Amino acid sequence: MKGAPKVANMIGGTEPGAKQGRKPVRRRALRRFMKNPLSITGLVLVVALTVTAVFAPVIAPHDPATQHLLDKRARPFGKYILGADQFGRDILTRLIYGARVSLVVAFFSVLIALAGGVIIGTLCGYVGGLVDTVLMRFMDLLLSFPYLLLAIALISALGSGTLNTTLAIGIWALPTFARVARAAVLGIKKHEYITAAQAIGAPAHQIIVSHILPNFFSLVVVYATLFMANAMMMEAALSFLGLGVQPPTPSWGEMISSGRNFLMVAPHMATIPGFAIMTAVLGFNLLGDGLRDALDPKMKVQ
Amino acid sequence: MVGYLIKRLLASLGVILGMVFLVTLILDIIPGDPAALMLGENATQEMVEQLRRQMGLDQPLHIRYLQYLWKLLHGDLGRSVREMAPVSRLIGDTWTNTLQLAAAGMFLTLIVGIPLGVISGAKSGSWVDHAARIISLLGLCMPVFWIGLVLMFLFSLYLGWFPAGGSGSLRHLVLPAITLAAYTVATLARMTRSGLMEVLGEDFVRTARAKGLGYWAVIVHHALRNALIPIITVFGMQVGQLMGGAILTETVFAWPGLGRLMVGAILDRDYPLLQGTILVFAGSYILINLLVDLSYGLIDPRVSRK
Repeated sequence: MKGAPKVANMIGGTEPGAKQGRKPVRRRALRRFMKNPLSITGLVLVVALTVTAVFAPVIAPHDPATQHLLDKRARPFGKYILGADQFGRDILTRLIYGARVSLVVAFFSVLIALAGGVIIGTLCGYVGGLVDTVLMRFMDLLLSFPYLLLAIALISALGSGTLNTTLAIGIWALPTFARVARAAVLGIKKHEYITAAQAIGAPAHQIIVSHILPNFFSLVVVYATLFMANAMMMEAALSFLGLGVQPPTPSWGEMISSGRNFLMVAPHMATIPGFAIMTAVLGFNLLGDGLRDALDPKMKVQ
Repeated sequence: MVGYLIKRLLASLGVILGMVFLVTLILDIIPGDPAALMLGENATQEMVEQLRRQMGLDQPLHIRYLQYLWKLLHGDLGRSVREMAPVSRLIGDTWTNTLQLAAAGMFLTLIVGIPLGVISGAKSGSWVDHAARIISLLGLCMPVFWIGLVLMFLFSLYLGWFPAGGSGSLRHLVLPAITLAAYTVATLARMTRSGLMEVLGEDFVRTARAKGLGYWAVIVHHALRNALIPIITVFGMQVGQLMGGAILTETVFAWPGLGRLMVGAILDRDYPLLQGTILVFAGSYILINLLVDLSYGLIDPRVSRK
């Protein structure tokens, strides 16, 4: 298979991801990324969030489940930096553990969407025909649900809980990845180096793995990053409605939901977790935008 | 144009048939017997059997699908078990409330989002542009339900300007509508800005300026008009966002609409009600997108000629 790019070059086709051109392209992308203060901000926020989630037990000042019944709804900046909730649990600690839940749910749901979407999209784009029509019509059907509704419908069928929430968000995001992958494959398929690889008798799976996938890898990375933000927002919304992550597991959406009942007497309970969601979503959005601009300024992302 | 119209109508019909199928499928995915789950632990075997027959659960999936479609054609969406009433009546009682909320949200989105994007795009690089972009970026990152709670705390609990929940008057509508529109305003402003800036580089804009037309006249009459198609497309997609947002907003403000009915139906395991509300929501979204597609022909004559 190593000979294929050479053949492609001989007949005048150039492969964007070909080995010899890769390094400078990457270095230039890195330089573009580092020059943009917004991208750096996004990266810092995402790294900080990940570190918080991974080292939650080390960082958190208290235990997330321990109830201090004398400190029910304690105000912020007192004994607890961000106050306590209706059971006297430390809000800062629960936010830190909530980062874990939010990040894990978002990561695995995006992974499901990415893996499923890329497989379906690549298959549809490369094979075409009846497979393409049937699968993409089904994807279109899933996409014609209004926001949140598909996830709600899935959860109503599967039941709530962390695992099902992840699954529902993953299935919700999957059709978008499938569409993106399919469009990318259709674009790449037209190039001469694919024809060349086919002409020398390379099997389809090898063409897909070594010539097609590397060429839209950056597009998928950008989408995955942006969808991390969407998935976190979705998890928070589902948990807020009581359909997502279930108590006592600390989740930002659920914290806001239980704080709602004490909005008058303890407004910090419902408001503080919102800032955590906002920071996390902002981080992934900025990082995704930054990656897009750095990897391919001409890339069209919805 | 007629051919296009028929094609779009058939495609929408196909999507609706598919959606009804998925909604029927819910009952098969649920782990356990839906009828037993709906009636709770105190139900006798006879009651469960009766409900199974009433919901058609004793039939195979394809028969149940056809039965559901047949009933749907007659406006029958089954009976809600908890509310002891036909689903169609429950939906009929609440859908105008959701429509009211969604219409107010759309109105706000249009009258705030487009001007914000136009000013931002026309004066790109200025402080107005930077301020508008930062505001819309933050608007995109804030959860709808959280905005609602913050507004509720500030303007009804703390300042007492608006009621904290319920519906009935224009004052009840203000906070939910702002909550609902926050995200869509941000998106629409961003799209309007980028759409306008793309058009501003075109030759016809320079020509219009060269013939002596004022800057804002060029923006409004020439540039905006040409940037309108992508803006309308995004607005069509935003309607879906708005509907999802309505579910959250209704929950926050105890707004008696379809969204709250749906969430209640899930928590109560009231499956016929859930199926009905999902279908009404999804169906209206499909209808609105159909209208958006058809409106292209009115905005841009090139579309209908194709």
